[in-house]
Amino acid sequence: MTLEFKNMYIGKSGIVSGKEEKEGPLSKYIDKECDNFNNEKTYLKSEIKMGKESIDIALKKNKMKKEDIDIVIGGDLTENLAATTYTVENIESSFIGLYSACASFNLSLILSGLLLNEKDLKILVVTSSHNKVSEKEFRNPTEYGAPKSLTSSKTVTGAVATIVSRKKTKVKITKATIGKIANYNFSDPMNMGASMAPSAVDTLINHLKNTKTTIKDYDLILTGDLGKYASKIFLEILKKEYKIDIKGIYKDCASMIYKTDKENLYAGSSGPTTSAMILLTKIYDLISQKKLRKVLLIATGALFSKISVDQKERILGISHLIELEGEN
Amino acid sequence: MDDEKYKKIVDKYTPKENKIKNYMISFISGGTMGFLGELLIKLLIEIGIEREKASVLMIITIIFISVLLTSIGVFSKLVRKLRSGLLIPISGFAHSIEASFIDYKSEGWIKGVGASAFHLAGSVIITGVVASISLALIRIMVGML
Repeated sequence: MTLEFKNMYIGKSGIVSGKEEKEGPLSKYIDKECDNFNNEKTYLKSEIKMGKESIDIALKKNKMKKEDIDIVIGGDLTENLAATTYTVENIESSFIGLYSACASFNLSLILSGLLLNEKDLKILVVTSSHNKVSEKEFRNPTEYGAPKSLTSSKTVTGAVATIVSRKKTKVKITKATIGKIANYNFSDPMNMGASMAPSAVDTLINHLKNTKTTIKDYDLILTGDLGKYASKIFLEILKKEYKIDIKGIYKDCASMIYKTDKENLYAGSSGPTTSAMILLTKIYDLISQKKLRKVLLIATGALFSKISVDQKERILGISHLIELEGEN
Repeated sequence: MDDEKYKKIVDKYTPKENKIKNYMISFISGGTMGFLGELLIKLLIEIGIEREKASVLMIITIIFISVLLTSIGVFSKLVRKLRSGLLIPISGFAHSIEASFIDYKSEGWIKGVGASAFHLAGSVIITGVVASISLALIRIMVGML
């Protein structure tokens, strides 16, 4: 399903991250850095605090107070969206929490766009993730040292918050395609990229078909967090099945968060914060400076639960796409 | 595209672990662990402790060192380098329990640590108990023949 957004603009953002993310290529964009505990007693409390700090920074940068916000929309990877819920509890406005794994931020933006088509609103969009929280929830106790497979990824520690509204800025979201679940009988939780790649292809092809465009109409096509190996799978399926070659204009956000020579990086970074951070920093900057004109960001999500994986269920993939354009 | 075709593409781009290298590292690190254990037993016997007590003391020592190194975050780094040789013996068992202790402390002593301390080690304990009872029964039955 492809949607059109009439007046959706992205405002300024607040970005908080962990130490390793601050040491990476996005260093100059990150507003605040903290360690794993962020002066809190548990990792979950630390993630919540990062979320609150990113919201404070975003409100300040947009010269807004929390009373100016009409609705908060956000999601994260924690069970029952605990992190997002406690992050936004003090913003006394309407709240929608939603989950789409690592595609949660794009899905939040898509819902925001639909609301902005209807009403003139100030929407706060948030997401967060914490490496240790994800490890404990989905894999092993964080101090356990079992070697990881080469295709596993590193969940980003960070929180982002931004304001989307009808107020004109240099970057607008014009269209979006909501993805459908793709299932290719994959059940390896250590290779999530392979579960997500087919859905990324599916969403991109549908977007091109529904908008009657070709890849020549875009300057850059990004995927959220397919990772080092699955991004090659993505390119191969596009080439073999659809005769589309996007190598020259394609990048995967998972390879853009950390320093490339970083130890224990495996396949790259993951988490909803991966695509959100790249979108609100580098991409926002390049579009504002008119170095990029039209960009597609395909956020990829792996849908499963800890129990479904233990019961040997397959891991399903879904990808949500947003189309960004520079405002003249 | 069907599942089989997709699986072929995934296999093409999935990096293969260097299994021979992993086996060699585990062999050497595991063997070294066994050697150091025996060395410790020999030292304890030298200072006059009888063989059986020395074995028990050796195991306690390895457990203590593993737990200590886990609490300061060093053990997990060692396991990444030395692999199964460090993870399979009693050192890995102690490491898994201590790691669970550290992680679940935030949920309190009863629901957190108490319930989840054996999160990873539980299956090892059950397997060990069931295997030893089964083998003992088999031995008794064979003995009766």
